[in-house]
Amino acid sequence: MSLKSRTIFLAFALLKLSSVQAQQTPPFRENPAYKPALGGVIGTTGIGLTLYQPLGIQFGLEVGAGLMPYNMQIVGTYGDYLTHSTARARLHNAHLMFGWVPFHGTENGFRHLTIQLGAGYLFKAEGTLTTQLRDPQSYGDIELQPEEIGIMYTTINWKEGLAPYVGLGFSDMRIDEHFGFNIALGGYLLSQPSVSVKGTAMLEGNEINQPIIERNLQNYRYLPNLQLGIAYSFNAY
Amino acid sequence: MKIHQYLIVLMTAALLPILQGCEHPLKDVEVEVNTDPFAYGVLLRITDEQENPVSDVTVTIGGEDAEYIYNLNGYKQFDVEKGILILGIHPLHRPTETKPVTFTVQVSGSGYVTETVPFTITAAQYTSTYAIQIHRSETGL
Repeated sequence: MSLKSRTIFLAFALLKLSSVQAQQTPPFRENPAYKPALGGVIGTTGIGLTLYQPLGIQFGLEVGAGLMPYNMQIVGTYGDYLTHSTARARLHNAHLMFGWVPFHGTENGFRHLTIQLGAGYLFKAEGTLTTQLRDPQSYGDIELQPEEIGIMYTTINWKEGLAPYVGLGFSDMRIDEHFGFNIALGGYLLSQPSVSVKGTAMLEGNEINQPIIERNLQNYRYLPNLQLGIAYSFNAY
Repeated sequence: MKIHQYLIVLMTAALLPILQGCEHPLKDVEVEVNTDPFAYGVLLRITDEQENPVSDVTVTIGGEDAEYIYNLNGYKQFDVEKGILILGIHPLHRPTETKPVTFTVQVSGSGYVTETVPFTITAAQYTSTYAIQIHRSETGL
């Protein structure tokens, strides 16, 4: 065999060998919890949009924003009076989460488990309670309707700014080739809220309740987040 | 159900004690309602010529805003005790800067000359005291 022939044979052999090695190399494993995707979420912190981006096969980023337009009616007896309150919470945030996929190599459902660390920027964080008596009150021949008796306004404010977040979730559980389902549980750490109480008309003087409400809200420093979402992957998987 | 599905259910259930750990914002709150609906009060001191308190008279409220004048218990019953009568203005008809509350107080009684006194209560007059002196009639002597 001539040198030229041996060289050609060696080239073909190497080519063949590299081809076999390529076949023996485990196929590329994609990130099981993060795909480039855009998702809608709904949960205890409101509704929002999140952009997902994998960082290799075991990390990922989530960037998004959420709005919490939360209203609730509360009927209860406080003191001698049956009252009706409307609670409004407005906790709007933009957030950036860094996710770790610890079991990315497994074949079971835990490959979707993510541990999330990040922060939200609260650009609005306040709650209001508007309290009125539920029933009219009579003073001799004078009957006053609840709205005529007055309103007690309770305003709760958290400082705007960064709120650290920690949580875990299951991400990108495939629904079909484009859509994935995710669930997350975590919490934001908020600043100590400040409370102010103001009464109008015949409810003036209810400022004395301010320290009581402050005490009740002292643990409102954790904003729990149970969140469900569906994300649309830009590529089919 | 697979283990990770159990974990998802557990995560969801874990939220409940977290939420329950928070006190109700209004717990222990006692709503205070001012039991005196009258922000505006008018104290009338009714006497005779000798400055003696007069109670055996009838008081009738008249004038433009008469329907908004009450006694301190919220009734339209105007009894004079030891020469004193306190009137209140309906809490929803308070005087304003542009519209004072106007009414008249007519004091009459057997043996007295009927006296009618006009009142104008302005927005700044939360409390005011007035003296009404009535005279004994000739025929009543």
